[in-house]
Amino acid sequence: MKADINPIEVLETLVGRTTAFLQEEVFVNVANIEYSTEDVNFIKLRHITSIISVEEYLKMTIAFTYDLGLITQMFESYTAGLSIGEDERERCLEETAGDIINIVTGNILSRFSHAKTIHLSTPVIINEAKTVVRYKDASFLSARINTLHGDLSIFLILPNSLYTAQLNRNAE
Amino acid sequence: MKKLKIMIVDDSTTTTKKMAQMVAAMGHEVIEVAVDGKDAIGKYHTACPDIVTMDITMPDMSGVDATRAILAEHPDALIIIVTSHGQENMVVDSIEAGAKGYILKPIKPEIFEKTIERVFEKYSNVKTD
Repeated sequence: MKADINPIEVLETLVGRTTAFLQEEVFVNVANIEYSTEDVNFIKLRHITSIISVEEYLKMTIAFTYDLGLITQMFESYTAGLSIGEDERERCLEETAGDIINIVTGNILSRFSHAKTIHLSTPVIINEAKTVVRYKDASFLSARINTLHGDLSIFLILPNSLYTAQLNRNAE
Repeated sequence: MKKLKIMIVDDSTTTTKKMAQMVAAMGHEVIEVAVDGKDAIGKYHTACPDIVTMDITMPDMSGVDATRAILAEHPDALIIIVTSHGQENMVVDSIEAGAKGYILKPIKPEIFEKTIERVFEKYSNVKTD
């Protein structure tokens, strides 16, 4: 990631777009948002997690991790009116998690592309709770979006060198 | 407008179902579905759709590359890019690849319908009703 891109701004923009998506597209109201820009050593994944890599010069990994109640509510709204068999339901729920991270991340990238094209990987889905430990050269930034149906946490995983450089710049 | 034959290219079954629902509501018909660029290239020839909707981010082959490949064999193909990416470079790349339209996700049914109609009316060689 280029040093002139502020990862905290990226996180805030992601949270803003996610909040708008929740309210406008799947009709879930956001009760509260909490940011953590402290460097944490591990992240706890919730019931289902979608992960996407941002490529080229932006180079970060983004994870959206959902409580079961929230992703279920989002899935019901997102697929309202569609014919989905019981044998398809779990896969479509996972695809919903993948679609949402792709849409939200794709939507915000134009703000940070600076005349360079930024590509996204296809999303990866993890469908059980895990704890991910930080590798020594990585930093985590996070935000938690709280709704009546459960929480969504958004994590940015980025190179430690950039995280430190940005915090030093912000302190100047 | 006549009932159009639409081919949807997207690696998400859920997105494909949502788009198919919108297409049916417009009075058009989804005649084929492809799950990635290579699948789309293989199916285009037999499907002969009026319009193709093409996702960009897919495994194996991007939608922009698939657009180029389809147009190389079928220069009259009408392809609309449907993607979450609003970056200017991506729009330019898509148009340079030969796409005739560009729709941002999340898809708004009214924009989807207007784009399909505009692309078909402007670029089709077939007389419309």
